[in-house]
Amino acid sequence: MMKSDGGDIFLSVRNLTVEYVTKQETVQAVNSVSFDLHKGKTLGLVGETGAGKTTIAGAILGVLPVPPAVTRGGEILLDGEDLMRLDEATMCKVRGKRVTVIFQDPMTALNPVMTIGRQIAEVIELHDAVSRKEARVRAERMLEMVGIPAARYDEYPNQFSGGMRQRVVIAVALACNPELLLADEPTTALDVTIQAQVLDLIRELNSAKKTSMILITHDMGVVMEMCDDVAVIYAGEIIETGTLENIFEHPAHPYTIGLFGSIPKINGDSERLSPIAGLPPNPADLPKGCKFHPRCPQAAEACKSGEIPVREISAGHFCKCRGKAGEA
Amino acid sequence: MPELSMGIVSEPAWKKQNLFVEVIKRLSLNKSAMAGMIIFIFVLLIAIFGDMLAPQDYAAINPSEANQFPSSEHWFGTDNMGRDLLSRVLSGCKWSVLIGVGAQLIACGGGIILGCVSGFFGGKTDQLIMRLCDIVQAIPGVLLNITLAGILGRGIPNTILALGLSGITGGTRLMRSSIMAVRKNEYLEAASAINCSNFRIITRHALPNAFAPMIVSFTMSIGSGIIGASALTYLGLGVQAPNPEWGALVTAGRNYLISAPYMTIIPGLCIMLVVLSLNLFGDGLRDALDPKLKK
Amino acid sequence: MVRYILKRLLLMLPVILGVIIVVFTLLYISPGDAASIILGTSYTAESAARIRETLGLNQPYLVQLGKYIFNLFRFDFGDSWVSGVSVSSELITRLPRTLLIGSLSIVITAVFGILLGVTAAVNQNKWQDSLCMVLALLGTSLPGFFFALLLALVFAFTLQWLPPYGMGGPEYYILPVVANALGGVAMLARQTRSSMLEVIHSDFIVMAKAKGLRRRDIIYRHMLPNALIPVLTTIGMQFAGVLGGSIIIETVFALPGVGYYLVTGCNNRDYNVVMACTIIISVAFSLVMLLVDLLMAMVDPRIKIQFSEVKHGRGK
Repeated sequence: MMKSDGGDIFLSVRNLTVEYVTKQETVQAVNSVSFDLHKGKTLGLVGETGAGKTTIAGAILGVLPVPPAVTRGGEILLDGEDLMRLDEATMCKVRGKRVTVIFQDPMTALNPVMTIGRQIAEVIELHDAVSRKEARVRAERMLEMVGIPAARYDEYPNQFSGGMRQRVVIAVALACNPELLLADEPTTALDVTIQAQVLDLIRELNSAKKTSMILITHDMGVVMEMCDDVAVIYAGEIIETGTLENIFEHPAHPYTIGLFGSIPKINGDSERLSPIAGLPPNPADLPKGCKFHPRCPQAAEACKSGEIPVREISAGHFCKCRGKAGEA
Repeated sequence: MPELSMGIVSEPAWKKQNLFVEVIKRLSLNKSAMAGMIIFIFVLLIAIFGDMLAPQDYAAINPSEANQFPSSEHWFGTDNMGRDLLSRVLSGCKWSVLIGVGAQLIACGGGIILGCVSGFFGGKTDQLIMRLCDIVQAIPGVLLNITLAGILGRGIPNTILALGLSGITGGTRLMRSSIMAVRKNEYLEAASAINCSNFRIITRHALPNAFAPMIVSFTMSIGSGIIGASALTYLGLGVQAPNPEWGALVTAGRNYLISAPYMTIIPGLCIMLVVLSLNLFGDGLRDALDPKLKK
Repeated sequence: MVRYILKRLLLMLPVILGVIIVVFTLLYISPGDAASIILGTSYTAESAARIRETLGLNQPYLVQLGKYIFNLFRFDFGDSWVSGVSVSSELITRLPRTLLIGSLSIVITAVFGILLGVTAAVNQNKWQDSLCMVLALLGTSLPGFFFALLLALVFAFTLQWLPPYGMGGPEYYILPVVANALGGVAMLARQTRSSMLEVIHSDFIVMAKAKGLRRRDIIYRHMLPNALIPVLTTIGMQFAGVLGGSIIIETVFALPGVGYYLVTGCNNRDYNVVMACTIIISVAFSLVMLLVDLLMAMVDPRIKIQFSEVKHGRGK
């Protein structure tokens, strides 16, 4: 399903399914998700909190907490190689070198008792087999690159503000020139003014090195600014995917349309914001049929059961919805 | 706004009710806590009915049967004076439990009062109580026990008092910090805004909410009280000889460690079992009261 | 840094003074008559009055307290009422033994407690975890003196590998130290496990994993240094347990340290001895806590900055 036309696909996720299993309940975090990422492009994963975005990133890196997370199946093909079949030692060489991640909360992502310089140098030492001295030189260069004076190499995370810490996290992520960068809500925890700076920094460094990126966010503004392709996630499923233009100009899924309805427009009509009615479903007890039907303004009887087919709206623009009045 | 104040004031009571059911439910799922509780209930039953259950008089001396190893006649053997050890352990149970519980009642009672005073009146009263706590806590616990026991003298009431008094500082700090935490909550502000008296705020709002950590500490400390009492007895500063308190039984056994090791081992294991059950139950209780801690 | 240490030392003085006053006052108001203890069977009202006069026991409370504190500055704790020997000379020979037992016990506590705790935490919910935690639970439930008796029974009386009691070469310290460390090991293992588990799910551990670090490096370079901060506090608190425990353990193994001296003093109502031992152990404990605080400051950058800024006058 949902296959873009071939070309230079760099990362291909096929039918990824992840559950969180505890004694009390089983949570369907990611449900048969498939998407492709082209080399050098940026894919935006958009969805509400708890939709399963972070779990997808964790699964790609193989860093999900093993109990309770259980990966039920699927493939994660990085340049044709299935990451899920690699053993732990090989995977350690992928992490931090080929695939790296920027975490959401810079306040907790750095080790509080290690100097920020060491935290950057550590990853360089690990993957590029250089001496401690050389790692330090390179780490200092990385610091300068993200806009932190190299003189602050020996300081601890608590001496930095949130925005500065996020720069350190970015420096760690980019230290070994990764091929794929997973940015998990990189600006959510930051002030609005800092957000723009950090986004600019990521974009600059990425375009300079032709890094592919998956940008996870719930902020449509960030998507518009950064992404080439967009995948919208709801309750662990991708419900609509296409190019930035597809999604922004011709949103097809009622949920996507609802997302745009809840963003204030400055130049638009002065109509009131229309938030999506209801709350996201309980992931331990998902509705049957279309996961969105309890909140969908267009839901028909047919939406309440059975598998929902994927329709191709236009070339490369897919939508998982029966459409108005349950047709198709 | 009458509805608002009503809602706020009744909230803790409503929460408490629910919390109680919730805690019991979580506790009953915890196997080791349930095991601990069952053992402790068993021990309590022995403490109450021990004298009736004892096959013989615990003090009956019978020199012809001295130092017998455990047998079908004397399950736990006999001591150096031919007294039936099983009977002595059964009758001694109540003393060990009494000392442990009694000492903790004093420690927690004193702690609650001092902690409330300190936490609520703040300022100089708080400063004074806290500096006193600093001083007393600069003396290691066991040392304080021993020194107090040395001053107060031997005997069960004095042992309870010595153990209880040295536990007060811990209780005070716990209570004070609980109250400090509760004080920050908004419903207390609301309570004082609708003109609740200080006393009412303490008894109706702060105490019920500060109680959870206190209960956990109480449960766990009974065990250390029992250990502390038996240690004092061992040092000759606690319970006096004819009394079959378990520490006294261990102490009596040490002189026959080689010829009759069961005299030491059996009462020692009994102490361990009680303390173990309380630790298991206390751990479970803490996890049940604060699910965030469990992971 | 020097200023910080000086400040902490100054803050310690009132506490120690408080301990002296509290202990002195407790013994002052408690029953027990020096004269009758000193005289023993040769007690007469007349000689008792003479002894009270020479000891200054008829003077007002404040004068006695003042004299006691003044004498302390010259390390003079008075004489034992029972033996008549100077308490400070006894302490000088006994204190090193108690401190030796204490410090050896704390080393064993730290090493085995952390080892058990880390093993349990990184194997959470597996058999290693269960085993370590059952051992720890038994350790906290076992009375120290009972464990000491069991050790003596097995290793001294039955196997005859080690001496059961008394003083002599290093072999005389093995059983006391092991017996004394048990409770601390158990407690510390539990603390280490829970603080390891607290950091195990931290974002920065996921980040360390995302960097491609191997499991062992994550545990020892990232988890343990963070988990160690509350663990260090517990080790400090364990000094109280170890010093207190040594009082009991010394009595079990008849090892003539400060603790044994204190217990003998208590049993004889020899208040000069009781007072001296209580004060000396409390001071030792306070000094150790100060050391632990300083160590904490070295480990935890959040505290380290505070006084490195004082030192260099450097701002953010």
